[in-house]
Amino acid sequence: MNESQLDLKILAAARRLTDLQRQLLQCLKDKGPGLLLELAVRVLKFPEDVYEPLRELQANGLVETQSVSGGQFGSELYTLTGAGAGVLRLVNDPMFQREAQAAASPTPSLEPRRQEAELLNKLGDLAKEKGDLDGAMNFYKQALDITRELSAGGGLP
Amino acid sequence: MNLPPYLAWLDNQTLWLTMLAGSVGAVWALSEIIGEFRAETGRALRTSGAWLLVIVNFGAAALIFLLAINLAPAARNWLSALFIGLAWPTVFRNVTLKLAQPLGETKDAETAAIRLEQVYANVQKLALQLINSVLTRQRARLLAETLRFDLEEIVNYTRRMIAISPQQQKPDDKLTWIDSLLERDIDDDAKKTYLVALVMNDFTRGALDDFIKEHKNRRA
Repeated sequence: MNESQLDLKILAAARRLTDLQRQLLQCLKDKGPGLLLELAVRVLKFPEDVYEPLRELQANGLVETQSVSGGQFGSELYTLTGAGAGVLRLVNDPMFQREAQAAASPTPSLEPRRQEAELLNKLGDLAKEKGDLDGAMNFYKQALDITRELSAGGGLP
Repeated sequence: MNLPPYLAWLDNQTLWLTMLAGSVGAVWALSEIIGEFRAETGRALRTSGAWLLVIVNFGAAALIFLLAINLAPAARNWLSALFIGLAWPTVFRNVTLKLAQPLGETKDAETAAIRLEQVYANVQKLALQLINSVLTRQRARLLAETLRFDLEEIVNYTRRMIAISPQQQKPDDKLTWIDSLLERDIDDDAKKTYLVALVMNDFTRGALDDFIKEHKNRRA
């Protein structure tokens, strides 16, 4: 998987994240790796409430587990992966939060395709910052295609 | 400086410069550990995994400095040592040693190569696993020790900690969570386990050590 594909995967995962999953990722970043029971307590829930959301995060590659002998705390230690840290950075980004709020609001102030173009531009900026110029160009091209498509269809003023 | 023969090695400038480059490299490893184990930095640094990471970082930076001064003797100065110590992760993690270069149609195919970034990632993963195992075992031992006390004592201590801690976020939510825990149809040991996990994760393990000391003294 190249960097651009990874960034798109991060973007898709960030959009699907529930509030509880965001809290779980945040506490893994702030307080370090933890067992199931510890993670549940950190977000003031119980293990049965966080088990499924954690499994989903694991399936998406945002957290990984390590077998440990943790006694009554459990035997699987959850840690944040690089992709998980990337998703967390993105969901904590004020621009992403504004876009998510706009998407959730009942009055569609921004069209989904336009939001996608803006996010692709943002991913392009991130790739450029990381020195991945090819990846950045790829994102900018995709954003440009969407913008052209919207202009042709009268989606943009 | 005239040194006795058995201390002559102290006059070796290359040695000190290599140590400088290595030490700066070791600081990188320390920063990685601090970043990963913010809540338990001190304990994490006292594990074999932490030392493995520090030694690997020290050795790699020192080795790169030695290679650099052998290739460019003019680089034998403290500024180069400092620079190599700071920049070695960038160099090391972007180097690929190609073991074979196929000809013809297979040229673009996956070639046998050692990506040093991957090698470092494996060492880093091993070190983090070692640290995690030790810290988890320590927490489990502390939990077992705390379970000897009465539920009421642990509940009171947890509530007191929440009330007096100045940096608490959502203290009311925590108190409500404790109430819901106490209403659950589970045995006292399970309730104690949750409360101990809350104290450990919110107030660090030091708070639990204090609780154990305090109650041991009272019982003595």
